[in-house]
Parts: sequence; structure tokens; C-alpha cells
Amino acid sequence: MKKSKHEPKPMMAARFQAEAREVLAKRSGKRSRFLDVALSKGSDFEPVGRLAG
Amino acid sequence: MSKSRGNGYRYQIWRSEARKAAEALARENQNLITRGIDTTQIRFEPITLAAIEAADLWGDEATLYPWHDVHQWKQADIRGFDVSLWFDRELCGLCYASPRKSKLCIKIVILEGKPDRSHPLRGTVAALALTAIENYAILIGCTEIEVQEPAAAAIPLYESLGFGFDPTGRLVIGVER
Repeated sequence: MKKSKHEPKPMMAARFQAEAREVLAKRSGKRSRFLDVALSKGSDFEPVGRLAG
Repeated sequence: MSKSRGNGYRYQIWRSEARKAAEALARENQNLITRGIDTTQIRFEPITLAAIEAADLWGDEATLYPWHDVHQWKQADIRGFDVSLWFDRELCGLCYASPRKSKLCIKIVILEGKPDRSHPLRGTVAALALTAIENYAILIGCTEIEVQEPAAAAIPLYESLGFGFDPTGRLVIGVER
């Protein structure tokens, strides 16, 4: 009989989570690039309300 | 579990991890701390009913975006990405992005900050949302972020963040790993 490939949901969740964390942990120092620029420009540089769409 | 259901679950977890990583980054950001912001109060959440109800209280200056439809969009768009930005119990921003059918480009469909000049995350809404979107883009394999229909007043902001118009007029930036 063929063995089932069913993976329990908690194990699947743990696997997806581990994959994501491994990838994101390898990000370079540029991961805060947006925040660093925004903060250097000051609060008023960003319009309030609608930004896209 | 079927393959599509498994994939749906994968994207759900990746959305969550993209938000968590952005939240951790914001909380440890020294520039935010220097600005006097209690970064432990910054939260990245999905667009929940609580977020939509909070956005309803933004008042007349808020754009009439279909935030109520986001739940429905998420059902039909398993790779879509939603994020609400909170400071303690104050909703400061909302964003929905999606690669739709593209394998390379995730598009910011709608992005709105709280229409209030004094909220604690003022000036950083786009940057915080983009930090989470870039995390998610990396996880799903996209190499580019596009702002669809940028607000005219926000174009200088996007350009300062590194976006540029490509020859076809799309406002885009490459994903940095």
C-alpha cells in the first residue's frame, strides 16, 4: 500500500515558519533602508491620508 | 491537505512572518527610539475587523477606500498581503499589496495613513508598510515592488525611498535581499 504523504497542519506550519525565518534572517543591512530614509526626512515629508490607490 | 490549500496556508504563515520581522526591525530601530517613540508599542497586524472599525473612525478626511472588501479580496487572492500599522491601540496605517498573477512584481494596491498630523507613526507609514512588503516579496520570490496609482503628493516620498519611474511609467523599486 502506498504510504500517505499527509503532513499534519502543525508540522506544516512549523516548516513554513522555519523556512521564512531562515530567509529573512539572512537579509542584508539594507532591510531598514525605507525607515532610515523616512526618518531622515522628518515627519512632514510624508503626506497624511492617501498614499497610493 | 490539497496542494492549493497547503499553498494558502504557506502564504498565510509567510504574511505573518513578514509582518513579525518588520515589527522586530521597527522596535529595535535606534532612529525611532531617538525620536522619542516607544517602539514597543508598534504593531504590525493583518487587516482585521478591528482595523476596519478603527479606520471607520478616521473621519471625513479619510479616503473612501474599500477596506471592508479586503477580507473578500484575501479569499480570492491567496498571495495578497495585508498589513495594519498600530501604535498601541491607535491605528496609524493600512496597506494592501498583491503580486496578482506576476511572479516577479508585487504591487501596492492601496496604502493609507491616518489622516491626522499628530499620530505617533506620522512620517513613517509608507516606510513601515514597505519594510513588511519587502520581507514578503522576498519570501514569495518577487524581485520588484510597484506602487500602483501613487498619490501625486506622495511621489517625492517614494522617489526619496528609492523608487523610480520605468520607461513604461511604472513607479518601481528593486527588492533588496
